[in-house]
Amino acid sequence: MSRSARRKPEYHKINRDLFVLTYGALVAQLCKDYEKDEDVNKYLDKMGYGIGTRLVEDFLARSCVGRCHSYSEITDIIAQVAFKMYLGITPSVSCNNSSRNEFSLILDKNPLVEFVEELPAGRSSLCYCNLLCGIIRGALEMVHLAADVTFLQDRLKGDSVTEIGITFLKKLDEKKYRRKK
Amino acid sequence: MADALLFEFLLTEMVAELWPQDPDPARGGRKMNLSVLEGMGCHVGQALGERLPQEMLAFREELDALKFLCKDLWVAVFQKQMDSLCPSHQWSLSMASGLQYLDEAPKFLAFTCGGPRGTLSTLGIESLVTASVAALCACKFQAVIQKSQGPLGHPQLSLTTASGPHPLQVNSRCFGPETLATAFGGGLRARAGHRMLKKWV
Repeated sequence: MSRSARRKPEYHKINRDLFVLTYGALVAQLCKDYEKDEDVNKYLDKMGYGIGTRLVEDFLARSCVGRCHSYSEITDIIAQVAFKMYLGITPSVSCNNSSRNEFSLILDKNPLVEFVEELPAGRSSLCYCNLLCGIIRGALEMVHLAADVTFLQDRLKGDSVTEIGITFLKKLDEKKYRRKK
Repeated sequence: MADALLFEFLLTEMVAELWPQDPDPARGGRKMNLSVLEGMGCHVGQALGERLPQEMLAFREELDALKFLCKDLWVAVFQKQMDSLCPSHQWSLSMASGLQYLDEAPKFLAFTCGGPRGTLSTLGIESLVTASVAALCACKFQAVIQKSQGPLGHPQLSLTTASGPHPLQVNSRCFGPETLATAFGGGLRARAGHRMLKKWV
């Protein structure tokens, strides 16, 4: 039997690959099921929303983040804690308006597209990583924050960077905000 | 690096999304969706197998490959070891059971059966992987190695229920991360070789 010199697999790498590959299979299946890119984007967002509503509980339990007092703080936590914890990347954050309720997450690296060279032909409007937008939106909603989350730029579409825009829809009321337990 | 929890949640949502929500009694429709999920699992298993370093895959016998699948790869994917591996290429896994999720088990088993089949095919082993739940708290997977030459036909993952119909209406979207564990319980049996869905609750 061949036993010598065979090393154990790296579990974290396999976990990461499994998630990325499964996500790719899912997007491929949705592209087969739906002709319009808008429908695929919609379902990816919807699924991400479902994931986000559950993931936020795990995140809050594991990260033990304190109470946030501004949208800027919340966005920083999403970028520096949540993305780091689950995807191993730290997007940079920028504020897009003077009201300080519109922010951008710039992703230098995106593990979800590791095995994607380009979008399929005829799928120029596909937001391949739209699951991430749904996850952020679902997670924020579970802590009583309504937000629009969309891809503003996408390297897969030929843009120079991948940018996720978060627009907080309701003014944060410090008295009403409670960290979801 | 992606947390293992992301995969669990993704699988739950994926099954909920790709499974028809309307209670269509047509056997063909449900069987097709099982095949879709199993096929996706197979593709993922193949890609995963291709990503593994070559020195890790130097197997001389099929049993070595199955041992690797059950002891190393399974732990990496599900963070739980198989309880036993029998020479008849069956391996079993004990998990918490949830009778109320009896109806939902096939959806989650389909993808999980496809994964090992895909990985084994990367190792040059054509197989048919099925799952059966013979006891309440256990799930048994069986890999049947295909010895004949030629391409393996698309496996038919057929399922029969071991008990009567259950009137519970379960929304799979309400499942938490324990879904994978609880869905493996129940009296559902999956047999290789059956061409028709005998009973569908």
